[in-house]
Amino acid sequence: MKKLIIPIVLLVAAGALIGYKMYNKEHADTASLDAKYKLKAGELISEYEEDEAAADAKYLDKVVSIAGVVKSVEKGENHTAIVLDGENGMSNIICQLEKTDISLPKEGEKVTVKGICTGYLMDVVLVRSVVE
Amino acid sequence: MRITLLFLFIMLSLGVGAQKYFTKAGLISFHSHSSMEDIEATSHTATSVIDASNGAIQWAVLIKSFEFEKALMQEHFNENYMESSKFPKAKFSGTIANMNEINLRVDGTYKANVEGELEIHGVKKRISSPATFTVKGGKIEANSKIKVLLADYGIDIPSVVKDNIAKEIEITIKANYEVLDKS
Repeated sequence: MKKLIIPIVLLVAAGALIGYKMYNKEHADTASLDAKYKLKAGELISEYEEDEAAADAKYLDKVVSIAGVVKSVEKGENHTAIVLDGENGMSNIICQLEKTDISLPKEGEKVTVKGICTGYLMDVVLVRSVVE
Repeated sequence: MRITLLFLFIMLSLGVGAQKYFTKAGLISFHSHSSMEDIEATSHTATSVIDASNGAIQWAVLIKSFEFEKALMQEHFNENYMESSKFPKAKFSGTIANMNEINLRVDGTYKANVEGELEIHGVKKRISSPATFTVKGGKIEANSKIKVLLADYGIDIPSVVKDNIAKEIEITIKANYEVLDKS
């Protein structure tokens, strides 16, 4: 019985450490994540405008890589967002950037942005985005 | 004289048309304080529209856009508590109740009573809350804090974590509105 105590204590300690690390795990850098879907800005908007629920089921929480034209760059107090032209009229894709201390693209520039899709309000919103 | 007055009246009426202000970068932050831990998350992509002529206000925010420091906490928040795949948005639709005391087209700081319907987790509830509107240079800044009882919106806290999450959550709302340009 005594011989088992040390391995058991070690096992419990290892379990506790793993649990602690999992609990405190921060988000992975988007740059290190693979995009599940790659599409053009206009295509993403079309899918959302046609059937929001279906688009949500497909894209919500997924890493998407969107190719488009920069419509504007919005600098806020804490976050900067690149707005990609939705090509379809009113709605665009707002890509809130993960980091603020990066060089920003200019209006009219063609870019590819990778981010996590959070859904559709007046525009499709991506968070934790990076310019690829 | 009469023609001039009539002309002025017509010009004023045209000028007093509905003017809407909007933001797509509204800040909504919530905070839960308990003896075990403090939980905080923020969204910087809330949308809101306010109609300066009648005080009508609308808000919408994507639940998945709330960022937590810890990834696991964000996962639990979305999957277990908010069920955000089923209810991806939280919304508010209401008005400034004391609009007769406020003129959002004139620079100044105004204390407002906002009333309306808040929808979280698919549950709608009437709420009322004070808010401050600061008008300056054609822009409107809104600030408000509300308290929300999780149980009111059908959000269940499992007994295992009941000491980690407060029953009442404090929500901070902030928006910098700009004129909605219809051109």
